[in-house]
Amino acid sequence: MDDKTYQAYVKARAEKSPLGADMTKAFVSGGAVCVVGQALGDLYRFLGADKEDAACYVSATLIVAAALLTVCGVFDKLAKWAGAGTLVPITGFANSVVSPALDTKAEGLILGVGAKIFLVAGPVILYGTAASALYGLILWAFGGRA
Amino acid sequence: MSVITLKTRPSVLAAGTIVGLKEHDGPIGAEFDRFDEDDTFGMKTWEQSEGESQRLALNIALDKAGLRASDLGAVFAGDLINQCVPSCHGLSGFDAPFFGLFGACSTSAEAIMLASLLVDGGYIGACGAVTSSHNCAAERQFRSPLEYGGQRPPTAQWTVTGAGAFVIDRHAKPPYVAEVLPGRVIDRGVTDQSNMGAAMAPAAVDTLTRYFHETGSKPDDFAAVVTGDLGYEGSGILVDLMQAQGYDLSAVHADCGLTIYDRSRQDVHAGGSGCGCGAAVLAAHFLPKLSEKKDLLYLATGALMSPDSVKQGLSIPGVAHLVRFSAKETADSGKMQSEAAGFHENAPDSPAFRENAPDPPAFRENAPESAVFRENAPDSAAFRENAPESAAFRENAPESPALHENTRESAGTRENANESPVAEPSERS
Repeated sequence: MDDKTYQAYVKARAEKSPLGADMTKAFVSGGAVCVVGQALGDLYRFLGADKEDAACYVSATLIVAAALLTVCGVFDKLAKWAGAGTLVPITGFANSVVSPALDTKAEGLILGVGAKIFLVAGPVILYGTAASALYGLILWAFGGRA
Repeated sequence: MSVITLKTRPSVLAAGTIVGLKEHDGPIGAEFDRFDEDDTFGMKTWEQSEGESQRLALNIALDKAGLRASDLGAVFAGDLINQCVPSCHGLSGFDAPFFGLFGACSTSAEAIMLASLLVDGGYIGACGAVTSSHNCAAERQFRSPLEYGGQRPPTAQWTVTGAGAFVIDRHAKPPYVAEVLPGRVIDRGVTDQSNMGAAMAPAAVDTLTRYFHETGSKPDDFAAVVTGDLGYEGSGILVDLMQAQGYDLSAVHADCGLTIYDRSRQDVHAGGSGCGCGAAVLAAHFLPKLSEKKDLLYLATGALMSPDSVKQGLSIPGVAHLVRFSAKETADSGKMQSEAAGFHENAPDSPAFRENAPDPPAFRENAPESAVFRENAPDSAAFRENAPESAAFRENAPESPALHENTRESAGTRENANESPVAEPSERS
């Protein structure tokens, strides 16, 4: 059996992730996060925030909640079930920043937490910032207004 | 490269095991000497915890063997973490020469093999072989942060928290190390870090096929062919590929990674992995079952990679080292003798070397010098006095073999072991 045949054989026999179940769980849990977000937004509006401020408060609340759940060791268990449902919303981003911070605190605040806190989220921050700069350039070039 | 027959059949004088809570909760949890409820083994970082598990495992093995660390001519130790830091730190207090090994998860067999060869050659009296892995240390290094909320594919394996230590000594009592076959690095181009079984299985097939071919033996000649941590995927591949070579392993094959956990209830996906997995399961579960009827082949496989090599797109080669354990005093069956003779004919140097090397007893006679050395090395004695944890552990340890049998004694031991962070298995069982 040559290497290519072996790799194909390995791929074929490997147990696959249950995509249907995974997607259903992600849909339900991701939707639930959004419902919570909407409810929080409505609450903040009710308490007197304008639409823009309420949206910021919702993001902040979800980030703090996800960070706390990560610190308590609950988030990874929820995420194991929910998959993309907790990864895609801002909760996933919060977890991806807090979890390396927890992991690297033994290496110190500078070389550990400071240097490695964006170990997982780094690419999102870098390319997200770069993409928004590019988008700004395009907007500027074609005469749009920010 | 040939099968090496160990003429003197060195003994596995004693073995010690220590595991984490998940391993203790597994199907063979009660068979390990000790376990720790929070997997820290009383230490601050996961790397230190893993080192501590090695220290404890080797101490358990030494106590069972009735030896001190200074009786060891060498210790071969290895783990999966950067530059074998857990091994270095865990064993830094041991008054014995240290060899750090890296063979990924094959290190347990590699260590036993090298220790046995040195003992068989008469170069060293007793020799230690200890390997460990720690789930949290390995996750941190190879995968994602511990609290990161990700999903793992079904082919992924769960790194075992635990350590296994062996004391190999000159021929005394079974189990014996009868033969060894070092593995070659085999690369079939597998790049999936989540399917280590597939990366390692071809190496296992290579070593096992060479072994059967050279010795003329077949799978049924053995009580079991035990692999280290191929897991569900790798085990299936091994049995398939060996079948294609004309060897039916299905009746005799067992995998330590599938033995240590119950896949149906412990959420470990394709089973356990890590160089603590093979060592601990071999020591606690398989070696005690060895009988004179049939020998046991232990084949530890390693996936040779680093986090960076994978990111750079390199494939994951495998290596598989084989050790044949026997409870028989000598290779007395006609078949075995002809095999051994055949081997020596092909390796004339080896008997010649032995004839010129009547040293083993001489080595022992010269050994008192090492005691003299100790007398001249007050630092080392001072270190011992300053190592109260280790001393406390030792005081309590003589009872450890009896712990499983006698719960009351074990409770007493526990009371006296305030400094020991590790719970006795019998407390939970």
